[in-house]
Amino acid sequence: MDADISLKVNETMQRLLDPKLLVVDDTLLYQLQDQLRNILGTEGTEWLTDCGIVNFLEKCSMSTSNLIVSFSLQLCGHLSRNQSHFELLQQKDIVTSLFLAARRTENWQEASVRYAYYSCVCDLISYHTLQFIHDSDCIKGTFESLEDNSVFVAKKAENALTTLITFVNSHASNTSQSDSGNHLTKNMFNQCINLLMTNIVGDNKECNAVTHCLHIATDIVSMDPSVTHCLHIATDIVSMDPRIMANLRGKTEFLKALKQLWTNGIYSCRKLAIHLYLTLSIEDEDLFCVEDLMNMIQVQQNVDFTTLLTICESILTTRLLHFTFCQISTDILRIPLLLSMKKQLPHSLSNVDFPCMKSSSVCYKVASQALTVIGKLQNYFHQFLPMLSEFVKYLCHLPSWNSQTKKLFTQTVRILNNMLPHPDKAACDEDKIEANSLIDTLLTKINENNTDTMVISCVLECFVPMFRNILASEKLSDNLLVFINKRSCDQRWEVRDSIIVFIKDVLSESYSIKNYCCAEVQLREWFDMTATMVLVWSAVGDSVSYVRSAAILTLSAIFLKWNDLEKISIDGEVISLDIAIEKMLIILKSDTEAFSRRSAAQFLLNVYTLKGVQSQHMTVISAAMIDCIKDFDWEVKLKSLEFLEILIKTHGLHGEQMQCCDIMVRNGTVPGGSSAENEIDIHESKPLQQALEVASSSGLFQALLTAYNDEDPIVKDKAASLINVIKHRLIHVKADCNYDGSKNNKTYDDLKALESVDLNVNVLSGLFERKKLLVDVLDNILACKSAPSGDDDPNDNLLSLVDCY
Amino acid sequence: MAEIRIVPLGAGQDVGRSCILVTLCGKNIMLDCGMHMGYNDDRRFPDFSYITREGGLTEHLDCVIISHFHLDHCGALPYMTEMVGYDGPIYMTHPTKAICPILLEDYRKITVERKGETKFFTSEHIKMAMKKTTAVNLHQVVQVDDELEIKAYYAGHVLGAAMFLMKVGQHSVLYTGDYNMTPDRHLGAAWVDKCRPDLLITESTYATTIRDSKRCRERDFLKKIHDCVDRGGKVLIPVFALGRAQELCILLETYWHRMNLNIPIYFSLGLTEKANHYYKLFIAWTNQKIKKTFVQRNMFDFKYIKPFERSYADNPGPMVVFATPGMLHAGLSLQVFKKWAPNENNMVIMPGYCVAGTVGHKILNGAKKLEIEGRQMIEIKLSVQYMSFSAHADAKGIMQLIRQCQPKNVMLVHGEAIKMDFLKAKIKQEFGVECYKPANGETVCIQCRSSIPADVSVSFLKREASLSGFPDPKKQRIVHGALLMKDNRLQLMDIHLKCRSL
Repeated sequence: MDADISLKVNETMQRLLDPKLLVVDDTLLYQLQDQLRNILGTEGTEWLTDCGIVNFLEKCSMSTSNLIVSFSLQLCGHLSRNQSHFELLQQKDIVTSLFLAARRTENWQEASVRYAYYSCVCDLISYHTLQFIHDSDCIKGTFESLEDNSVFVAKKAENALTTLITFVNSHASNTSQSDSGNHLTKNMFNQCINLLMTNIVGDNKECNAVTHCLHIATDIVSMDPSVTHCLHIATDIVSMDPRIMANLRGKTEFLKALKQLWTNGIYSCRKLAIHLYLTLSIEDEDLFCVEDLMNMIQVQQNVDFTTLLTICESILTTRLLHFTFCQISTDILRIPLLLSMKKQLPHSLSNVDFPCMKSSSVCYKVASQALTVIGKLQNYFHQFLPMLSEFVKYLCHLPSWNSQTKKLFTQTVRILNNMLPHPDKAACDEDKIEANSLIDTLLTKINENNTDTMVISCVLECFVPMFRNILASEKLSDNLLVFINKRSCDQRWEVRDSIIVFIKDVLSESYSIKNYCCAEVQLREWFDMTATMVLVWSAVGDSVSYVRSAAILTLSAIFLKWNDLEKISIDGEVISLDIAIEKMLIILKSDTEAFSRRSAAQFLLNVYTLKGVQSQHMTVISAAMIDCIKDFDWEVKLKSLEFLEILIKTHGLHGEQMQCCDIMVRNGTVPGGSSAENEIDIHESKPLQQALEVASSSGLFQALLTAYNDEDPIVKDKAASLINVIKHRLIHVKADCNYDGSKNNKTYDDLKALESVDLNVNVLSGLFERKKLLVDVLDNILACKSAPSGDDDPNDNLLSLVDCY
Repeated sequence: MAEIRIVPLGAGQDVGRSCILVTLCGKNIMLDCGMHMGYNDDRRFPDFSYITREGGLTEHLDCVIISHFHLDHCGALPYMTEMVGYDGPIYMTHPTKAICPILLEDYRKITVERKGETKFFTSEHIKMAMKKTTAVNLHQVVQVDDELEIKAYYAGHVLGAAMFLMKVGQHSVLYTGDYNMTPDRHLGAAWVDKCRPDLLITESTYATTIRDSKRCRERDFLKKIHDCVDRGGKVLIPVFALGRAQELCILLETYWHRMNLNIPIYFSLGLTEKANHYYKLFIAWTNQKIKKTFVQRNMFDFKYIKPFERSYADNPGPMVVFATPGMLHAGLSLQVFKKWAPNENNMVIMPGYCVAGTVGHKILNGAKKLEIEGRQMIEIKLSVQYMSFSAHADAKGIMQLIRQCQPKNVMLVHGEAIKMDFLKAKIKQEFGVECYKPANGETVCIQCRSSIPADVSVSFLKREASLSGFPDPKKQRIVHGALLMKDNRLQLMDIHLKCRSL
C-alpha cells in the first residue's frame, strides 16, 4: 500500500477518535468499511498497525460514540475473517474489550450497536474462531435478542444463532477433527443447546444438533405459538446445508422430532414438518394423513389461511403424494376464491365454516394469496383454469371496483395469461371456447368507460399471445377494433401507451411463434383493415414522450416485419419509408424529450440495417446518426456510437480486435505497437486506404473524437474502445498507405488526431480505482466538521442531507 | 382494542431512504419508498425482506403511498415494482406522478455511470412503475378497499407534495411526508383539517426553530451574488430544473428588479420551458399570489432571467447562470463549471445535496484540484458556497400542525435523534400526548381505544345533568343509562323509562 494512503488512513483513524468530530452522514463510515474491506484483502497484518487501525480499535472500547463503537465492531468482525489478523487483535485483547464495551448499558441501548455486535459474532463464527466464541460467552443474550424491538437486530441475532448451530453441527459430524477440536465443538454445542433449553422445558438429548433444534423449536412453539422465530431458525439451518439434510434422512430421532412437529397441531410447526418431509423425501407415508389436514381446517375455526396455503403449495409443488391429499390441497386453494364469489364450497369442505372470512376485504386478501400460490403451480393449471376464468368473469360483473378488486383482477388475468393454451400448441375445442369466452368478457370490460389504466394494460398484455384467437373470430376482432378506435384518443397517456405497446408486442410475438405464419396474412389484413397504421403514425406526434417513444419503436417493428412494405396508406395520404425517416430525423433533432430521441435513433439504426435499403436512405441516416453524437442525452450518444461501430465494420476498419476491444481497454491491455503476426497484407492496404478516406469524409473520425471528449464517462469509454480498434488497424496500414498529407488532408488530420489520443491515460487498473475510492472516502471523513460552537446554526450539519435536489 | 403498528425501514431517526410500514387495524401500508443517496449498492434501497418473511409484497401490502417526488421518498419505487415484483396499488398526487420520472431518470444516469453498476432499474422500468401508479387529487377520498380509505392534503415543500390521511373504520393515521407550514415565493403553506388521527407521523427535519435564519440565508445568498457580480465575477448555480430552482429564480428576479440591476441572469435553454410547462399544468398547486396573477402575468415568465446558450459561457463580464444538473456530474453545469473554475473572481453556489463521487460533492468537500474524467486537471480557484433552501416545517410549524389536526399520538421521523428529543419533550408538555421517535427497524405498537357512537335524547341528557347540580358544559361526566340496539343503531336511554316500556 502506498505510504501516503497509509498515512491518510492513520490520520482518519485518529480523527474518528476525536469525540468532537461530527460525522453527520453515517454512510461515510459504511463506505469506509467497504473500501477497507477491498484493500485489506491485499494487505499484510503489519499494515493494520502501520495505518493505525489496531491503535484505533484498541481505543474504541473507551469511546462513548455509538457510531464509532458500531463501526469498530463491524470492522473487527471483518478483520477476524483472517486468522492472522484475528490473532493480532487478540494479542491486544481488542475483540473482548469491544464486546464488553458494546455490552455496556449506554451502548447496548442503541440498536446499531446491538446489530454490529451480532454482525461481528456472525463473522467470528463463520471464520472459525470458535474457541473465542466459547470463551467469551458472547452468544449469551442472543436468545433474548430474537425478540428485540428492532427487526434488524432480531434478524441478525437469528442469523448468529443459526450460523452457530449449523457450524457446530457440521464440526460435530466431522470425525477427522482432533480430539481438542471435537471437545470444543461438543462443548459449544452443549452451550448452545443449553442456552436454548434454558428458555424452554425439556431434556437435552444427545443426538444430532438439527434434531435437537427441531425439538426445541417444536417445544417453544408449543408453549408459545407466537415465538415462530425458532421455526425460522430450524428452517434456515436445514435449508442452508445439504450435508445436514443428507445426514438427517433415516435418523430415527429426527423422524420422531418431525412427527412431534406435525402432531402438536400448530400450523407453523406443520408447515415446517411438511417442508422437511417433502424436501428430504422421507418414505414414511403414514406420517401425515388427509384426516389431519381436514381436522386442522374443521377443528380450528379461526384458520390461519396464509400458512395453510403455503402447506398446500409445498404439497403440490414438491411431488405427488396420495391423490386425495393433492385433491384436498387444490380444494383448499379454491376456498378463498369461492368465498369471494359467495359460492358453495367443494363437497369435501362443505361443512366447514370460515368466520374469519366473512368480510369481503379479508376474503379478497386471502384470495390474492391463493392466487399467488396457484400462479406457481404450473402442473395444476388445467384444474384451476375454469375456476379462474369464472373468477375473472365474476369480478368483471361487479358494479364497482376498488384497488383491491383491481389488484385481484390483474393478478388473475396474469395467471390466466400463462394458463391459456398457447396458439402454437394444439388446444382442444373446449379450451378454445373457454379462451374465447374469456377474451370476450375481458374485451367488454375494457370497452367500458373509465376502466382503470392498469386493468387495460394487463388485459392487453394477456391478449398478445391470444391474438390469433382474436383474429380467428370476427366478433372478437371487431370488439378489439372498437376498443382500439375508442381508446386511442384516451386522455390518459397510460392507455394510449398500452395500445401502442400492444401493437408492437403482437408484431414481436408473431416472430416468436412458429405457426404464426399461417396467420400472417390475417395479421396483415387486420393491420390494413383497422386504422392501426394511422394510430401508430399519429401517436408519433403524441404529447407524452413515453407514447411517442413507444409509437416510434412500433413503427420500426412494422417496417421490420414487412420489409416489403414501402408505403402505408393513411386516409389517402401515403406514408412511405422516406416520410417516416424524415419524421425521425426531425424528432432526433428537435424533440425536447430524450426518451423519444432515443427511440428515433433506434428507428434509424434499425432501418439502416434492413436488407435492401436504398442508398439515399443510408446517406441521410448516416449523417443524422453521426450528428447526434452531440446530443444532450447520453443514451442518444450511445446509439450514435453503436452506429459508428456499424460503420467501422462496414468500412472494414475493425479487424478481429472488435470483439475484444472493450475488454482490452477495461483491463488496460491496449495494444502498444505492431507485431509481426498482425502485419497487414499489402493487397489489403489499398481498399483500406479508400475505406479510411470514405470514413473520414463521412465524419466518423470526428464523431469519435467528439465522443471521446465527452463529459459522460460511459460515452467516453465506448468511444475509447472504438478508437482503439481503429488505431490498431492503423498501425499496420500506416507504412503502406504513406499518409503524407498530399492526398487527402482531412483524412490525414483525422488519423493524426486519432493517433494522438492516449488511451492509456483513460485506463485505470482495478487496484488504482479501489485506492482512489478509498482516498475519496478518507477525504470526506477528514473534511467533517467538529461539534458546533454556540454561534453556528444548529441545522447547518443536517442541511447538506435534507434536500435531495 | 385496535392496534397501530409502525416499523420505519428508513427515516427512523435519520434522513434518507424514507420507508415506513404502518399496520392500521390489519391493513398494511407502506409510506414512501425512498432511496439513500449515500450508498452505491443494494443498501441504497429499503430492505424489503423485513416486510414479510413469506409470500410476496403484493399480497402483504394493501397499498403504497408516495408523498412527493424527492428521491429519498420515491427513488426505490421502480426497484420495488419492477425488480422486487410489487404489483399492488401505489398512490401519489398528479404533479408527483408527472415529475417523478424526471428525477428517477436523472439519478439512474449518475448511478449507471459508476463503474460496476449493473443491478439498477432502466428507463423502461421507470415508465412501467409510473404506469402502475394512481394519481390522486387533494381532498379526494380514495377507497383502497372496503375498509381502508386515504385522503391527500396540501403539504407545500415542493410542487405536488402531499400529506396523507389513512382511515380504517374509526381509526386513522396522518402521514405528513415533508411539509412546510409557511408559504414561500411559489408554494403555499401546508394545511390539514381537524381530523384527530390516532397517530400523526410527522417529519422533524428542522426540529429547532430556524425561520429567521432562513431569511438570513436568503439575504446572504443575494449579497454573495451581488458582491461577486459587482467585482466582475460570474456566478454558477447548479440546479435541478424543477423545485427550488423556481424559488431562487423568483428571489433573484425580485432582487434584480428592486436593485435595478442589468447584469444578465440565464437559465438553461429548454429547461425553462419544461419547468414552465409543469407550473402551468399544476398552477392550482402553487401559492395564492401566483394563482391570482397567473392570468395577467405568469410569474415564471421572468423579465431578467433569459435562456442560456453554451456560447454565452465565454462572454466577458459578470453574469449569473442557473444550469442543470444540480450535482455537477455532467451536462451544461459541468461544462460551465470547468470554464469558470480557474478564475478566483467567480463563484459556484450549490443549493442542494450532492451524491458522493460527483464533482459537486468533491468541491463541497474542499477539493482544490479536480481530475475530471481521468484526464483533465482543473484548478478550483472560484469560491464554492453551499446554501440549502429546502422548505421544511420548523419546530413552530410542527407544533402548529399538531394543534391543527389534534392527534392522539405523535411520531417523529425524518430527523436527527437529538433534535427529536427536544421536540418530543415539547410536544408532551404542550399537548399531553404520547410522542414516539423509533429508530430504523424498531417496532412501535400503539393501542387505540374504539368509541361506539350512540344516540341520546336531549331530555335524558338534561335530566342526567340536573342530578349533579349546576352543569358545567366543559367538564366530562359519566351518564348512566341502558344501551339498546335497534335497526343497527345504538341508543342510550333512561333505565327506568325503558324498563317501564318493556
